[in-house]
Amino acid sequence: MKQKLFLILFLLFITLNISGCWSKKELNEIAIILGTGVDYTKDNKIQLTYQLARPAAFGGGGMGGGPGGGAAMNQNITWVISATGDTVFDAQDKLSQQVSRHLYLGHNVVLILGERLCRHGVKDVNNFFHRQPLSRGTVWVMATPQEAKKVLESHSELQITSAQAVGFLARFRTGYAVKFRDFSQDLASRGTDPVLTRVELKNQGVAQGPGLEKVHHHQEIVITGTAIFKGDKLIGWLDSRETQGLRCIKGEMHEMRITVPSPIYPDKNISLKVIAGNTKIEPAYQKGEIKFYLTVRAEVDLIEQQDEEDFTQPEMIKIVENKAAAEIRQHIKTTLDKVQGEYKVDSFGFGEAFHCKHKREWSMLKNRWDEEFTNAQVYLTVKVKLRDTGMQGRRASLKK
Amino acid sequence: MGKILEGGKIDARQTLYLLVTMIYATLILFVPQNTVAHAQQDAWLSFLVAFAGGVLISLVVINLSLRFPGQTLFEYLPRILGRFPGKIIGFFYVWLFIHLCALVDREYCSTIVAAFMPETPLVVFLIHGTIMFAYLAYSGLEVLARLSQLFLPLNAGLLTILFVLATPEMKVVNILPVFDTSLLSLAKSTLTPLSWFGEIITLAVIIPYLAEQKNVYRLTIKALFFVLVLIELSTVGVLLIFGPALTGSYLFPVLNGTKMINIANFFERLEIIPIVIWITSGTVKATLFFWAATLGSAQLLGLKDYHPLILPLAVIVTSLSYLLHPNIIDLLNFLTEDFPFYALTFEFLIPFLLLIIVLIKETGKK
Repeated sequence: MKQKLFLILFLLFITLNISGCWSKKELNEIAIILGTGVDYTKDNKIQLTYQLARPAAFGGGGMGGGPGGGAAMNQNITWVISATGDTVFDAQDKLSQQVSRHLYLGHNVVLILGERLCRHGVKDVNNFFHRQPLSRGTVWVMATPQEAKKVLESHSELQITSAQAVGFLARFRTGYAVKFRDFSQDLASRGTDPVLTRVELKNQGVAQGPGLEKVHHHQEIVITGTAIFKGDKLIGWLDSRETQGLRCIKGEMHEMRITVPSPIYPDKNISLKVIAGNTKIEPAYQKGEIKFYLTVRAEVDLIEQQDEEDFTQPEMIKIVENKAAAEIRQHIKTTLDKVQGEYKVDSFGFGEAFHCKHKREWSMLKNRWDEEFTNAQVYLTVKVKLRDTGMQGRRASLKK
Repeated sequence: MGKILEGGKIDARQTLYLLVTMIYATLILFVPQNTVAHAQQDAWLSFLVAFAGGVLISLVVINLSLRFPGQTLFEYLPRILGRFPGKIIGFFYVWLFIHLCALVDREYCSTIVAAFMPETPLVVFLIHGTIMFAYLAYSGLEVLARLSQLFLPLNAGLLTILFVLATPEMKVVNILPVFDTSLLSLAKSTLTPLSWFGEIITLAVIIPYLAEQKNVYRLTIKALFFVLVLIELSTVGVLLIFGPALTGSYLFPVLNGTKMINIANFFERLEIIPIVIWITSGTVKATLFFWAATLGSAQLLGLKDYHPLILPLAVIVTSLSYLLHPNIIDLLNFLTEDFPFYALTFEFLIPFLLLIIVLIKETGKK
């Protein structure tokens, strides 16, 4: 009898406990944040902007819609809200009084930082995204010369939201993409100064469709280069071309496009796509002088030619390879001149490479690494291999 | 004699699994962070050193235990030191096991609260944990061993899969350069993992229940080696993902490492896997210490049955784990700064002294 009673009580206890979680938040109780923007206002406060998804509109009533497609017309798919506060959490606290659901950071795609904040220093805000249990290291971090709030107040023609769209841009490595983890690692490292993807809201293309005969200009978030930091402070920008040089030095050349002048007809061009590439940094320390030997290897595919070079000739391939190597070398030189010469920072991780090779010297140099790096010589070797020529060997119009 | 106290017998394989689970469970939860904070990218080296220390400790413990066949630590302590001092030291060991159990319980519950359910009171998890391991201790050592036999292959497999999935996020430069840490920091970083490997002292309670005692040495070293493999996998794994600076700053680096997994923008959010690993292995670990504490107190008090002690000890463990540390930072500081010295006293110093006394006595007899 006693045992039976105990069993019943025990079963009751179990049913009470497995029925649900204590801090459960159902899907219809949370507001999913897709994009986060942080700005530094004129009166020195933190302005936090969230792009919230409105999943009810995602199904796409009427035309369009569906996963991957743009949203239906005249539906608000996102809701962009912002508030200012002394810290990020302070601002979020104010937001939570405006939103009828729990703010849920777990699905955040991008973190966009405004220029004023970047110039002031990002250490004031990035800690929140470390301590928040729902925040992830996979979030794409970007900097914008505009206001982050303005950038998030946009939508995408192809993706459902602009935050997801810019997330895809980063994922496809169209610029130099930086994850929150990479950014934090660079911030903590003495041998690498952080960089961020630069994004802007720009008039981009024309949206057309039946019923849209009146030309409708559309603003879309686009990647326009790279932001260069010294420590946690922004000190300058690289444009898209200079970003290519950065990608070469960092060894992230996959999917990079290069266009070189034709070897025979100087006013015509040849376009190549980098299929695979890697970079090796070999540091040397001699009599107080720091030298770096940079070896870049790239495999390229021929994508387009404007004139009639014959690519069935091995010599021609050799020539194009050399041209491409020269082009990559030029990219790297431009970027190095700007970053090392003008901004005087080490955004490339030369310091880390030096640390790996010269442990003892590093402990002396690490506190003034940026100055030391400015005086360092970088010697370049670029090797390019042409792998494929697309679907064609020689041009159809080329006469034998 | 308290021979009938625990009737279970476990075979070699179960012992191996039980010992591995007992050590690695919390080792991969709290220790990588602290070790990396001291030893930076050379943390893998400190685990090697700690492993060597663990082997030394296990040799002492096994050598001591095999001199008193069929008896647990609590039974042979009075035979070495005399009735009264032996029992006092014995009660210190009971306290150690109670404390270890409370710590393990607290570590798990704090993790869940910090990482997943910040709004749920800690005590809710503590009570659930206690009910679980009290029930398991009631079922005895054999059931516990079979449980570890069930969970360990699963957990080790899951852990390996996790780090294989995370390889796209790994960069070799993150663990370079090697041997960059000063000897002092390396020594500091070794202490905490060493105290974890030292938990092998529990073997002194388990040995009498092994089905065959021939291969205990080989078995134990095998178990310690397996733990080494698991901890090296986790630590080097998270180091490759985050580099030393970030790894040293995260409370649960393995959890953060899991969060980085993203295969094709589709296969992601696998955080539940480390939690499954931690909860299942942690339950086994806490129960083993709890079982050792109840068995020990029963043997010291000369009871015929240890089951009546389960409930009161469970209450003590729950309140201890709730009251010992006000917050997770305090718990971490204790585990990394005070715990090694406190634990190693019991894990190495006392068994070592006991072994010397036994050796002196034996030569005296001759």
